[in-house]
This record gives sequence, C-alpha cells and structure tokens, in this order.
Amino acid sequence: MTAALRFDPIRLPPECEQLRKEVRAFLADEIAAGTFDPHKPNREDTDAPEFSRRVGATRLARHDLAEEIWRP
Amino acid sequence: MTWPKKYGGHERSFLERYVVTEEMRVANAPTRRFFVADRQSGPVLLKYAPEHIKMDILPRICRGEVCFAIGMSEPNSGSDLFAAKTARHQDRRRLSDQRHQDLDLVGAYRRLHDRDLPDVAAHQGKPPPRPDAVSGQDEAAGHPGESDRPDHRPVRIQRGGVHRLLRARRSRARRNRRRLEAGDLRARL
Repeated sequence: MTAALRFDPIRLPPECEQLRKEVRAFLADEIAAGTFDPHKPNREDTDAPEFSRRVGATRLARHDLAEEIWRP
Repeated sequence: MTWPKKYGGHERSFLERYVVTEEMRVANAPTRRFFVADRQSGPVLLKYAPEHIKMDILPRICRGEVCFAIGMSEPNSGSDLFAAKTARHQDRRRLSDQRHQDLDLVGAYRRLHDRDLPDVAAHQGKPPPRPDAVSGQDEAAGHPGESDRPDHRPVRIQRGGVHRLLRARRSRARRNRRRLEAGDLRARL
C-alpha cells in the first residue's frame, strides 16, 4: 500500500521561523568570532566548552515575544 | 529547550528544539560537548532521577557547564541493543556483558578534564580491579582471569514461550554444574 503513503509539505509555525533566524544570527556571530569553521567537519576530539556555555547563556527570544511579533 | 523552567529549561516546544538542532547541525557547530546531555542523558535524568539529583545536574546541563560521556561496552553492537549479548549470571544477581578490555574511558576522562579519574589515580594509572571478579574459581574453570564470564548464548523466545525458555536454562545450569564438578574446562562460570 505504498500508494497510500503521502507526505504533505509542512510549514513550521511562525515562532519556529523566528527562532531559526535567531539561531542563525547567533551562529554567524560565533563563526565570525572564529569559534568554529562551518566548512570543516568536527573531529572526534572537537571540544568547545566556551561555545557550550554561550549556547546555555543565550536566551533565545521568549515564546510570548515571538507571538507578539507574528500575531499583532 | 523543552525542559521545565524549574530545572533551567525554557519550556519550549519540540518543534522549536528541532529548529535549533537543525541549524546547529547544518552549520557544523561544535555541539559535541552538550549534545549527549541534551539529547540522551538529561532526558533520562528528567524521567527517572530523584528530585535532588535533578535540581543538582539539570540546571548545569542547561547552562552548558557539564557534559556527559557515554560508554557502550558491547563489542560488535555499539548502540544497537538488539545485538547485545549481555547475559544474566546463573546466580541471578549479576549481569555481565562481553567487556572491551581496552575500552578507553580512562583516556576519555583524562582528555575532558585534564586529570585522571579519581580511583585510577589511586591505582597508579592501572584500571581499578573489577569489583565482581570471583577469586578462587579461576583455577577451577581453567580460564584464568575469565572467572565471571556469563553464558553468552543469545536468548530467543520461541513458541512455548517462557516456560520452554526456563526449562532450557535449567537444563543448561544442570549441565554446567556437572561439568564444573567434573573439572571439565567447558564449564562456564
């Protein structure tokens, strides 16, 4: 019954797309600061404790803020 | 991303977590340090750990301060649990896997923390003795150093179910006991 399988294209909710922008901006800053090279795959022993902390400290936009932006 | 705020999480949706993970992976970001905790060890603690352990560890995971190393010691299996041949000992109180003698947990710890594991340091760089090694039975089995080898035959549940399985196991146990008493080298301990 493979013919019955259908994958409808999905569109993520607006707060996800807003979040995506923020993550991209964060990563672009990290790349600009030389934390990592997006074109170089991570090696087995790649370790970036400071990057880890900054990810933890990043308060990506809060849910209600995203709602304000997208549903005025 | 999705964890309760009480433990430092953001209580956001799994779709939002998916977006962050996807962007990190696409960009080749160095997520290794926090990803195991985020994806695997943290959720296990969230579900099963007592409250004081959750309050201790989960916020530190959220702040990106701790990392988890997981060791999988089953040869030829990796994370494939169905390929595991870990068996229960016949005394029914111990589990044993086929250990990788050269599993480099000690080295992994040293690389992460730039110092030795506490009990490794106490044993002058040698791995600590295995707590479940049974002395005195090595000679009896004729396999020095392998005294705690379990029965590694894979268990298959077939028609007849558990009763047949238990019967087979009992008969193996009897045969093993006979061999052991006769000093037969095929006895498994």
